[in-house]
Amino acid sequence: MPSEIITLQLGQCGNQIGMEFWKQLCAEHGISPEGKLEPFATEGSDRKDVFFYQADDQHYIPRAVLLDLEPRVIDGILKSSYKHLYNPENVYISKDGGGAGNNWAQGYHQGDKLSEEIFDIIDREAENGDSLEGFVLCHSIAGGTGSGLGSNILEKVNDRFPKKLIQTYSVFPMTNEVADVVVQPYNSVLTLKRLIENADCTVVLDNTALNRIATERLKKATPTLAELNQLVSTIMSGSTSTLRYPGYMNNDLISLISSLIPTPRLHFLISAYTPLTSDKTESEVRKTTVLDVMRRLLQPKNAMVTTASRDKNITHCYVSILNIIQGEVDPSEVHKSLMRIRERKLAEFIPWGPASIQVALSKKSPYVTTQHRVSGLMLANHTGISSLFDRICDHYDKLIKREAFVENFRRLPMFKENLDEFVDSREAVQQLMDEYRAATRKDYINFGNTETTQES
Amino acid sequence: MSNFLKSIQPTLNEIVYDITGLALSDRFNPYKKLFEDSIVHRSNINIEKCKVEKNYQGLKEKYIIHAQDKKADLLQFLVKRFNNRPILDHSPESEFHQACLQLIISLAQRPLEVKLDNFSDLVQEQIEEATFDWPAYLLGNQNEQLVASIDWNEEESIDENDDDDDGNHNKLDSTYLQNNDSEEVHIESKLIDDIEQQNYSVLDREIISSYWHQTLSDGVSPSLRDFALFWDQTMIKTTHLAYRVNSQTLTEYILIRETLWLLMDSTQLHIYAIDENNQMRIADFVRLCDVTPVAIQDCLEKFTKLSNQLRLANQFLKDTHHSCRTLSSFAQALQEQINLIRFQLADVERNCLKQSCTYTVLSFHEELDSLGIISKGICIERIFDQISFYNNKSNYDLTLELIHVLYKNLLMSEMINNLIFFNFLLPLFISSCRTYLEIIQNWLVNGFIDDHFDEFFIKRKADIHVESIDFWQLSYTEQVENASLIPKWLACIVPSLVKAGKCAEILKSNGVLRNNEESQSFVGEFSKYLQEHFNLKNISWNPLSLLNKSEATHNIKTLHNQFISFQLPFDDDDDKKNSFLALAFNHMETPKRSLLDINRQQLSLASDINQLTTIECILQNFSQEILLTRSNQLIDQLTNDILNRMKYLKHIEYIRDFFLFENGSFMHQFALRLYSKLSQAIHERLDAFSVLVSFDSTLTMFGLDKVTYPLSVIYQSSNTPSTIQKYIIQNVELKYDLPKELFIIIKPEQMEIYQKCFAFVLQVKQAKYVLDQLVFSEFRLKSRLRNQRLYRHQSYHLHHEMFLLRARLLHAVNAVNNFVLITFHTAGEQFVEKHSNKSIDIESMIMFHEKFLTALSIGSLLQPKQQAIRDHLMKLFEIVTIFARRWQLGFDSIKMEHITKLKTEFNQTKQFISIVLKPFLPRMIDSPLRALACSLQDDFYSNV
Repeated sequence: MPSEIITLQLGQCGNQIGMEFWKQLCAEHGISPEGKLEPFATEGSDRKDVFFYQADDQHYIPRAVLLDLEPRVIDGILKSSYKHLYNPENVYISKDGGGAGNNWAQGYHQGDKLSEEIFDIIDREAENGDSLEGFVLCHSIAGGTGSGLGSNILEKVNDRFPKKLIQTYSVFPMTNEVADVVVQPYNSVLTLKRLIENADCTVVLDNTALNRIATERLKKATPTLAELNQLVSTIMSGSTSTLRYPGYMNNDLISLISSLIPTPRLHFLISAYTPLTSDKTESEVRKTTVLDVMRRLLQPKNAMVTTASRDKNITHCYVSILNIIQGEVDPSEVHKSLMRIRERKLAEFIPWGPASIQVALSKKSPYVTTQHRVSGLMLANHTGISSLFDRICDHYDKLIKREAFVENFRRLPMFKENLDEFVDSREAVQQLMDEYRAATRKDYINFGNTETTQES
Repeated sequence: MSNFLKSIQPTLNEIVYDITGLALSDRFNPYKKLFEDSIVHRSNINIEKCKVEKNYQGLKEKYIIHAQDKKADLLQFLVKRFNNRPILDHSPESEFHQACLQLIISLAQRPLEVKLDNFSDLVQEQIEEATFDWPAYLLGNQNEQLVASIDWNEEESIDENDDDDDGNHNKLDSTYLQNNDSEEVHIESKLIDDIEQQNYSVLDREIISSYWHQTLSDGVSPSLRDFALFWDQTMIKTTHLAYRVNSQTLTEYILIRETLWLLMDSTQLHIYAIDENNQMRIADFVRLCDVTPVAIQDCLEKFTKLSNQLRLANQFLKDTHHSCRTLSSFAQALQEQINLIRFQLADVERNCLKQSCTYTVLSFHEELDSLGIISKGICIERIFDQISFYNNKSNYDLTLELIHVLYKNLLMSEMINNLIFFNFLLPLFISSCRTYLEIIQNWLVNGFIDDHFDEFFIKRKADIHVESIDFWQLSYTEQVENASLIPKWLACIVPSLVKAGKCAEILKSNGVLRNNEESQSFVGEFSKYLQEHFNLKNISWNPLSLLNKSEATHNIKTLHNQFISFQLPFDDDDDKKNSFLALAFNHMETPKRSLLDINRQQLSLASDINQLTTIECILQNFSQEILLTRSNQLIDQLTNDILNRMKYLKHIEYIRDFFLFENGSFMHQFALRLYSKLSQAIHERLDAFSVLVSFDSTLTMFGLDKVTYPLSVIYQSSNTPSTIQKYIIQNVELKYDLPKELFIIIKPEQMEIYQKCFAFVLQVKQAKYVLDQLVFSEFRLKSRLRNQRLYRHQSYHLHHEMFLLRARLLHAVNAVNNFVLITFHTAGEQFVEKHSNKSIDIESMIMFHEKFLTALSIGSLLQPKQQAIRDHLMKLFEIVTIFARRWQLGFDSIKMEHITKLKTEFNQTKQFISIVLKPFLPRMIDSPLRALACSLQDDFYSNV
């Protein structure tokens, strides 16, 4: 029914985090892996129809499209207990099954070839709802399918549904160690350009930070991929909880993110979640208050993105903050907590505009028991995210300088003639970083102006 | 016939026929009977006027026979006069009566020596007096000699039917007309038939019945009785009976009997004292006391006092115009108590008659005291001292005062541990409370105060209808001059009671209240309660009933009346053993416990009064357990009705969902439709049609049935559009079908507040919506078309300005949006939370709802002081909509001036709001407005 959101899961990573997301949603709404409503799920105050629709036999089907160029992950999903959850028509695996080979250009090219089939699915899904609000894209920006095919689809979705919101959950690669995929920086920069230009909002999920959090918070020496995906699904389900449990405010996605994003490009959001505890260690259970949760959310160690608070003589700051507080919370507590945050100067804000901490209160699922009274999710627009792009660009610059591994790209149509796309993408990312840095300054208000004057 | 009677029979006959000169064959039975009666058991009580008259006639005849015609005439005349004149206290008439009596005494003692000089003047005065046709009378044709115009004559009533007449109490104060001729014939014929066979049983019966029905005391002139008494006395003196007693004893005996009469009648009475010269005069007690010992004087004074006390009660009872039910009920109870006293007195008198005990004045006083009559007299005096029934007080005050006084005395009697007081007062108190309880009962069962006499201290204002707005506040008022008069046990539940009464009325009007049979009667409960707790005292409730039991004769049965259960079954004519005389003489032979003993015993029985809970506690318990429980039941019933049947909270939830947008789904969608409609047609206004269509399509979307859904929407297009607010959504109204039963809590005009809240939220949400919709998709599209150079483009700065203005507007609108919705939500949550409390009732529901509304009106800035903020918020919203329109018209058409203008306006508006809100900032108390003030500050988190 109202404000439907279609989830597009792309590539290995996208499908894995997507899977976790749907598991979480099913648990929260009391839907069985087969899509049937559990007998205990009698409380009807939730809105399942944002992310699900009902088949004729009343079983719930996720508004999800599963896309991959190789069958491994999706096959895994279809062999799991959730195999009957998805609409099989929405599962698309490229016929040749070769995958994108961690090549952005390959994935992008495949997207051009397969777009007709893919958009058959997406269009059908979009027409399925009364008032589609937007798309959520789950992918990683480092691989081939998620980044390349994802970029392609992102562009096409933006063209086809210009008025619809596009939010992406983009997993950024580890930057602190040598990745198994050497062309990661290329893929990332090329994808970043599409994210800058075509997405309304990108929730950045930094693998580095996720690993760090998993290690530190969950006390795991070597966190498994599933555990990392669990973290991501927590973020995803948390950020959509106000949509699924309608309250007196923030009943659609747009109202959540509109205030987070002041200008078109500054839409890369960092996220944080607290409290994060490994499953059943009772000693880990804390007493949670709204202030406590809010304070923790502002701590960099809880952020799912590793950002530097200072780089190149720039003090980074928050552009805007949205806190989604889940649990039994008295609204008056929120105000008190905000006052404390103010007194303690826990957050540094942009100098050129209104400092905004939005707080959305959300109900908790009645079917999922949590040890904590209050939990919180932060989505924040922080200029420090530019340091993440900086690191990616750093790697990219080093690679492109030697034109390393570009041959794989030259084989595909987009790069056959020249490598302009690389340059363009790099420039777009640079502009983004420049704008983020400019946003830390008071004269950001003249941003466009100064550019012009510099030009002239 | 007893031996005694047999023994005196010849003497009796001798006296009778000697004096009257009649022969046995004359069968002049009443005459004979009178004499017999007087002699044998001194039953002057039973004297009928006509019989007495006949006696005189007989005497007169005798004079004539003896050639004393003049004396005979005089006697006849005197008798006439005597019969025609009631005796008044200390009036010249009394002297005449004295004279008359003196003559008769003289005549009786020494008929032939009486000088007539003293009376000649009287005769001359009264020459015109009628003569009595004695022969006609003797032959039975006495119809024409009806004695007319005699006040007390009319009341004369020895009534054969009285035994069956239960309502005879009424006769106390009603005039009772009876044709005495027919009765005379009746009695005569009967007596003629069986005079020989009857051994006084008929006679006894008459005597006794006259006791029980108090007819004598009213019907017979006291003077006549007095006369009879003395005649009787004289007769005894002149005869030679075995039981003749010395004169002192006799005086006391008479005195006691007089006192009894006095107490039993207590209207007019005279003691006729006979001095040494056999001269007779009227003596009052005090004068009599001059020659009596001090102890006796005391007693006599007490008798006088007692008679006065009883007279107070009688006077009150005779006043038939009891203005209200409580007074009538009280009067009835009092009557019963007085009756009880009378029966006790009659019992004493019976004992006198039976000679079962011989009283001296002192022992008589003791007897009265042990019977509790003296105490009761004091009680009566107290009550009538403390209440004045006769000045024109309103009924409710009088009633309250009565109950108050009774209760006060009851408490006091309990405190001083006076059981007699207590037992006397308790029935009075119960019956006085009766009407109250009935009214309350009626009220709680039927939902209205049935108070025709205006005696209840709570009054229903007639002009306020149950559905009226002010019903809860104004419908019932206490109408008391002095609220402290309300007894404590009742006063403490009055608030609950009033509440319950209102609840009952509401429930009644809602058709929920049914007169179920199980609803207990408070009156019944009340007396049951008291009885339960005074179980022991129940024995002593009525000393006479105990007495009856102890007599162990089967002639006493419990009556229908629980307080007075005393009746002698004299209707058994045939059983001669049951005849009163037979009984009396039997009892003379068998010794039995004296009344004193019995009383002592029962006092000791009841002496553990202290071990029982006090009356205060009991009443407290009663009011707590019965009245309060019932009240609470009703209050709960209404609460349940409202909460469960009327689904009050469901309605509130709906109202919150609809008017306050609490639930995001339905109203959100509806509003979105309106907003998108508005933003689609840029220059068009909203019209009723599109509003209705939006609403219907929202209903359809949610699969709701338009007909059954409690919500509908109205659009009132105003002809004079406001110049300031061009684009802000207005005039959309919701219509929610609230059951009118709930008007008691949610008043129709309070729906207006909801309406205003709704209008405001709609506007706030609109502002938020139009800003939220300003995503950058258009910009993205353009940027790609312009080949990535957009940011370097000349126009980007303009766009950038717009983006930043958007952010600022969004920030402000978000702050307002948060403020409004959080205020609503918090108020709503608190409101609902309060209702989860179990002790909720209608009153608190009303209160909570009012508080809720106050919070809402703060949230929607409806308070008068907030008007300025509201106005400027409207301006802000207008700026927002204009800005959004410009944005959507396309980036190309935007000029820097537009942006600058909007920016300036926005800055001004925001500055104004900030200034107005500034006073809230430093406050330590968290208030929603402070939150708004804080969040409106741009640099709030950095400017510490």
